[in-house]
Formats: sequence, C-alpha cells, structure tokens
Amino acid sequence: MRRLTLLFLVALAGTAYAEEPKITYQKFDLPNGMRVYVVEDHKAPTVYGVTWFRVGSKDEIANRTGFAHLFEHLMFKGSAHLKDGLMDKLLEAAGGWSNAFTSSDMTVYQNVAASNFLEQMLWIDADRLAGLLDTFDKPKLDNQRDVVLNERRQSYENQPYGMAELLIQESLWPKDHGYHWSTIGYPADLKAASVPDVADFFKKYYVPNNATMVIAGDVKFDQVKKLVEKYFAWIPKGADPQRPQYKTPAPITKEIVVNSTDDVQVPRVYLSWRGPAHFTAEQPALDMAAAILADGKSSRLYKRLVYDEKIAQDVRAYFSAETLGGEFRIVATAKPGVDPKKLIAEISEEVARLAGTPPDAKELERAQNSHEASFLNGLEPTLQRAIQLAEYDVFAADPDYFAKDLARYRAVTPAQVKDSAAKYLKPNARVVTTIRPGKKVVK
Amino acid sequence: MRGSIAVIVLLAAASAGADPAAKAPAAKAPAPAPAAKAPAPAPAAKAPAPPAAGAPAAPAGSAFDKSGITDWTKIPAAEKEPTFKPPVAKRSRLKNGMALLVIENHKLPIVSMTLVAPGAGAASDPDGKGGLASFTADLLDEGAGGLTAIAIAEEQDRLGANIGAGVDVDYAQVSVSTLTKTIEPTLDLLTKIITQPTFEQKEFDRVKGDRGTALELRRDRPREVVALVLNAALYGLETAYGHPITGVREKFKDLTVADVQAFYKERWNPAVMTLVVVGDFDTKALKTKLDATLGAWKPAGTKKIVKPVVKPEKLTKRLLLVDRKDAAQSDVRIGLVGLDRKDRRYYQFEVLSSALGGGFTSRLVQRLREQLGITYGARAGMDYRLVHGPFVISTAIVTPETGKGLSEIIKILDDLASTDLPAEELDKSKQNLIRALPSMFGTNASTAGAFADLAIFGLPDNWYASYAANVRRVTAKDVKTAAKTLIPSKNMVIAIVGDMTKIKADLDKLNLGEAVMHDLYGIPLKN
Repeated sequence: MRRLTLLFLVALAGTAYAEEPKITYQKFDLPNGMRVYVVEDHKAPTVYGVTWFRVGSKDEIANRTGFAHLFEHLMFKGSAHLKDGLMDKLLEAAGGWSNAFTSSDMTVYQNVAASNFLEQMLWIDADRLAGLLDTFDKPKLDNQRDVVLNERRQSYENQPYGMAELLIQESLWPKDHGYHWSTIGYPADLKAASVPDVADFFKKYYVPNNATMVIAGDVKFDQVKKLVEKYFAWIPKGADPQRPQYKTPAPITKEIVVNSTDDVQVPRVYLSWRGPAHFTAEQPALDMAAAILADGKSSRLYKRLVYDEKIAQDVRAYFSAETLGGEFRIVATAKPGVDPKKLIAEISEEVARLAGTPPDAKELERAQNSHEASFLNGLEPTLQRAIQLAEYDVFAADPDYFAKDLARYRAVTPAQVKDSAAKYLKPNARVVTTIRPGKKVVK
Repeated sequence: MRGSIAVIVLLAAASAGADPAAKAPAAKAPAPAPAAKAPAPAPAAKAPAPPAAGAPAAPAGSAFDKSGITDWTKIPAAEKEPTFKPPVAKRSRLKNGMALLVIENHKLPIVSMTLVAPGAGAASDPDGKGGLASFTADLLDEGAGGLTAIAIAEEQDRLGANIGAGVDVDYAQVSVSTLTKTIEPTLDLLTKIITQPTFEQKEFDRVKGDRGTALELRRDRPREVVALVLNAALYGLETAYGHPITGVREKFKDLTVADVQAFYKERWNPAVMTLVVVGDFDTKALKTKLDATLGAWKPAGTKKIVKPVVKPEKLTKRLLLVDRKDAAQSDVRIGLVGLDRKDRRYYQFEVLSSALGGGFTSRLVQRLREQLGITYGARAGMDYRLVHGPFVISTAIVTPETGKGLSEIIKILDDLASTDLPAEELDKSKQNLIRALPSMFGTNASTAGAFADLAIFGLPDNWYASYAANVRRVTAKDVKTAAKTLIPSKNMVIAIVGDMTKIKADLDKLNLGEAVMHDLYGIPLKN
C-alpha cells in the first residue's frame, strides 16, 4: 500500500528544507513503441534499470496457470549472445544484481549496477528481448520449472496458512476470470508447460511496444537516449498483444464459506470482498477504510480483538487492486481456545459500524498522515521511485501522477470512507475462509 | 556491515511473504540479493548440461543482423570507474553523554534515526530469564510519559512517524522515521517512550500474553525453529549467544514486571548510547531540541559494556534433526562459531561468503538451484558480533533431494578449503562488494544503520572510507586460508527440520554421525 497526505503544511521558517517531492524525469518513445523514462539522480554512482511488461498471470491460457511467472524465470537463463549465467555474472561483478516479480497484471524486471556499466546493462536487456529464443531449450525450462515448484513449496506449501491465499482467490473470482488463480499457479499446469508455450508467450508479449523502461540513477539523459536507441530501436515492433478478455463478473450475492486445515495450532480467519480497480476514485477511500479497521495498534479491530478482548493474536486489513478489480481483506489469527466464529462475528460488527457511520475526522486524519508518510518514505530508494514511475505510466497513463496520488488520498472524506465500506463490504458479498488446525492440505 | 544478520532475516522475511500479504507477487528470488559474487563451479548438472549457449556468435541469419551493430558478441566495456566517497557523519555529544552522529540530506522532507544501546541486547539476559531484553524493548511503547499504548500508536500516526524498538544479540535499537515538519513532536514522543516507560502491570500482562502465544506458535514456523536449533547447538541453549532472542515458552512465563524494570534501569543508559540522525533537518536546531529532550535524560545504570563470555560447545554430535511430518521441503541450516566484528580476517570472510552464498552467481545458488533445481535459494554469511558470531548457510531443499543437497553443500565447502578461487571468481567477488558499497547509503534509514553499526562494535566513523582498499587486498590464498581454518565441512553443525521418514535413510548414508533429535519447538529430546 502506498501512502500519502501532508496535513502539516506549515513550513519551518528560514531553513533549506526539501520541497514536496516531485519526480523529475525526461522521456522519449522509440519508433517500435517502447517508452523510456530517464530519472537523473546523482546521489550515488549507481544505475537502476526497470523494464515493465504489460503481462501477468491474468493473461495465461487454460491449463497453463503459473506460466507468466515461470516465463519470467526463463528471462535470466541466457539469450542469443549471453551464455546461461553470464547476465548475473556481469551485473554482480558490477556491484549489482538482477531480479523480477510477476503479479496478475504485470511482470517487472530490475537491474542494478555501478553507473559505469550502463551500456552493458542495456546490451544485456536488448539481447534477451531480441534473442531469448535463439538459445532457449528444454533443459532450461525443466530447470526453472523445478525452481518454481520449489518457490511454491517455500512460499506457500511449507508456510503456515500458506495455501489460504489460493483458496480465497478461487472463491472470490469465477473460474472464467483471470484473477481466479494465483500467480504461482498449480503444479500440474507448471509441469505441462512446454517449449512451444515459451515461444508463443515470448513472441506475443515480449515486444517493445508492450514495455515501459525506466533508467534511473547516476546517468545523463543524452547518454541514455543514445544507448537505448542503439540497442533497442532496431528491434521490430510486434503486434499489439491480443490477450484474454474477461467479463465483469456477476456480483457475489450470497456469502461464500470456505474451510480448510493446515499443520498449525490455532485457527485463522480471512474475510474477503471484491473491490474496484486501482486508480479509481474509490480506491483511496477503501485504503483508508482498511487502515481504520485494522492497520496497526491504533486501529479499531486491533483495539477490540487484540488489546481489549484478547481473543486474537493479530489482525490486519488491506485493500489491494490491479486493473480488473481489487480485493479487500481482513485477516485475524485466533488466540488458543477461541472459536474462529467469534472473531468473524466481531469483525463483522466493526465492518458494519464503519459502513453505517462515518469515522471521526481525527481518526481519518491519522490514517491519511500515516499513509502519506509511507508514500514519501517509499519514494526514497531510487529503484522504488523508478518502479513507481513505470506503474504510473502503465496504469495511470500519467507519469506526473505523483502529486495527484498524494492529493487523492488527502481529499478523502469521512463520508466517502463510510460510503465505500457500505458499497463494497456487504455481508452477503464476502468470502469467509477459515483455516483450522489439522492436516496440511496442498493443492 | 550487518550483511550477515540479513542472511537469516531475509529468509524469514521471504517465508512471511505468503502470509497475510495480498496476492504476493512471485519473484525470481527470495530477496533482491544485495551483495553477491563469484562465477561458478563446477561439476556436471543433473539436468542435461546447459547447452553450448552463451558462446558468442549469433546464430546465422539472426535478427541481430538488422541491428546495425557489427559485433553483438562483444560485451560493451565499462566506462571510467566513478569515484565514491561514503557520507561523512558529524559527531558530537549530548549533555548526558549520549553520542550524536548527524548527516543532512535534503532530497525529501523526511528523517530517519537509529538509536543503539550496546549491552541492552539478548546476550545480557540474566541466567534463566531468556527473552527479557527483547521483552523490555517491546514494552517501551506500551505506555509511557502519561500516554497509553494506544495513545502512543495514535500519536505516531498523527505525526506520520514510526518508532520501533527491538533487540539483537549484542544491543538494543530504536528506529525512527518521520517527516521533517513533525520532527520536534516526534522527538518529544520518542523521549517519552525511551525515558519514561511505565511498565504497568496490566500492560505487562497483556503483552506477555501475546508473546507467550507467539512462543507457543513457534512450532508452526519451521524456518524459525531450524535457526534456533543450530544456534543452541553452537553456543548452548542457556548461554548468552545460544538462547533464542525472544526466549522459550517454558522460561518466559516466569518473567515479572520487576525483572523488566530492573533490566531497563541497568541497561538503558544514555551515557553509552549512540544516536544517528540522517535526513532533512537543520543540525543546529536539531541539537538544541535533542539537548532539551533525550539529552536531559539522566544517566543511570551500568556504563560498563562487558563482552559476553562465549565458549563454543564441544560437540560430539553434529547432526540435529526435527521431524516434521509431510514437510514439502527440508529447512536446512549449516554453521559454526565464527568471528567477532573486529577480527582482522573480516574482509577475507566477506569475499569468501560472497563466493559461497552471496548472490545468484554464488556456488551454492549455481549448484543447488541453477543446475540441480532442488531449491529456490541458498545463502551464506557471517553474523559478526562483539565476540565470535555464527557463520551460517541457509536453504530449503525439496524433501526427496535433501541428502543429495547436503552432500553437494559439503562438496562445495571442501572445495573452497582445498582449492584457490580462480582469478576471475575472486575478482568478481571483490568487485561486487566494492561496487555495492554505495547501496549501503541508499536511504536515510540504511545510512543511519550503517553508522550505528560502527558505533555498536567500536569501529571508527570513517571505517567505510577504507572499505574498498581493504577488500582489494584480499588474495585467493587469504580466502582459501579462511576457508581452511574455519569452514571445512568436518567442523560444521547441520540442523534440519524435515520429514524424517523420507529423508533419514539418505542422511544416514552421509556418515554425519549419530543424530540428536529435537521436538517441534527445537528443544533436544531426551532419549
């Protein structure tokens, strides 16, 4: 969650304090459709490269769940002129590293190196964008399939309550919707992925016109432009990706109850609702609703369930959203001996209270201030700022969205928080998931 | 640098990932491997050998012909090496003796602070009172200076501030982030929390209840348990360095408010603390405010920071097992008692750790992940401390390949102890460390942490200025000597949480000697 709000606008007099942040950038488009931003930041001799591809697990086809993320792994296994492993060797010797993450809607690659290795970094990225398939083969796929299956074990199967997330998504979104399955995918589908699948996916989505690049750090705009043109401008534009389209799902009108077990000692409950997409007018109000309900010790549910009644070990709430919609979630872990139904009942009461009465102005102000501080802190690392800029370009179609993003959270009113809670957090529109102690269930 | 604490913490953080985090994105690796190095190894792959990829030479008639670049096979040369000077902190003292280090950075209207209290960490837990130091730090913001726990949390939100206290083995630490415009009220709040905690019985009971439950639930978190098992085996479960920082449930329940008050009184002494402030503020105004707040706190308690007595256990058995039925992976920690932070071999071990398990190109990751595909990640590093800290390798191996994975790790260790690092691998390992140094100062908080780290171990404020030169001096022979004296596999202790019905037979074949079985909380079982 990103945070915003500067309520204390009183400037301290007579000192050289920083202004409110604005992200200075320059940009250019290549003829093949790739958009490039350059953020000069000379505080350290380091360069950060972010390449954001508009593809994620929602774009996967039948029986190939997990493929977008598996494919992401393959982008590090070498290409036309890069032997498997050479990319990491070069970047690590340059004091950096290379990594990526995938979600329902995006695949985001990150490179870091000492700034004098800028050209090498661009050469690497151009080689894999133009020539991944030239040296691709089944052993590479088999190896990273094993790695991803181990990632699944480490992050989900062998984690307490680790499978809950998958169960919730399956229930919150219908089978024929791109958010129905988790980005990590199902083992059977991962095992079925083939070399031709890799080629098809690459040709369809890894085209320059489906990418936004941000180069940030100790670089000069002219130098970046020259080098990016040299290495990327010749790469042919591809067809605009024709991706799976999803109908707006019919609303949930009757509570869905999901129960499962895990190798744990106390139950945990999850209350989940669908919400609006990101960058919609209602997103900030729902973020604030989550903060007021259960973000930290000052929140309502913490006070009631953990602090006063001592029936929960922990509780938290958050709203997360991507292009096709959002998910509002409240998660609480029971104290030993507490019936999870009691937690569900009390959480429901607090949700209803917020949906019925606007929060106190001071309560909302605290949530806004805390959100704003996190937002500012989040802009501090150069890499994070670069990723944020790419996100604004891709999803808000507005690289100048930083100030607007701050402003839209500042503008939230108590009535909007109440209204958004009333509209989205209805008892009959939710998925209630309870994980009880028992045998671990892996699917 | 704190790098090695991060070894364990990073894996733990990665595991927490699937938890409440919404639709956690999947990623190439557990964590953006900060430091790392070394080309790699070594033996043949289980999977069909990597193709003759990489070899230069673009395929004939390839798309690259149209690039206009005549020789794509040529790796572009780096430009001139940029110069990097680590930030310089200005040092002074508050009236009560607290050391103050400041660095102004006016990029964003935010400020970070790190306050360290040497001697207030878990190593100072009195005998039989494991967890007291960490519990004391936890309780500071549960009521202080006339404010309730909830009021303190609300005030932080209102100010856009975040104040968190916790402990490591050798020290306690308070981390603060806030906005420039609220720095003064944030310091007021911080001062109340640190200098006037109430330790009220009612709040004590409540937080103790939460902590007690967390200790009960430790059983559910195998990654935490395996770390505990290794540590206890290396140092002894009841010792300064060997007991879990948060305690164990059987002993923790006996702690009293009087214990907390006594520990606070003795160990939280401003005269031995260092405060590092980095960000957007005016130093003069800050100093004035600090003198009126934290600086007015009267010194009390002990001024003497005694190094803990650490005697590595004499181990007769070095295989430590926890049977966790149906575990999909075996959580593995391999380690031994290593170096203190001021050991002259520090740089040698940094290069060695980097080559062994510092990043994607490290030998452990290349072999276990990129060649064998039996893990998602592996790391290695030293947790340098006041006295001998642990050197730890961490990974999680798919259950049926656990024995295989262990034998591979042992081979890698023995190879490092017997053969010089090839020149290219040595160079990459060193360059990675040197060129990654600027990233230590990437944020106000990381900069504050970097300087606080020096204060904890009594290193000079200009320590980072000579870092690159010291890394450059490390030779292949140094690395081998370091590996030989410390890490050959025969010296190492191996802790595993996994499904014994599926892995025990393979482990037996490795001739690691008799195993010591532990319960699911990591406590040795009596036969």
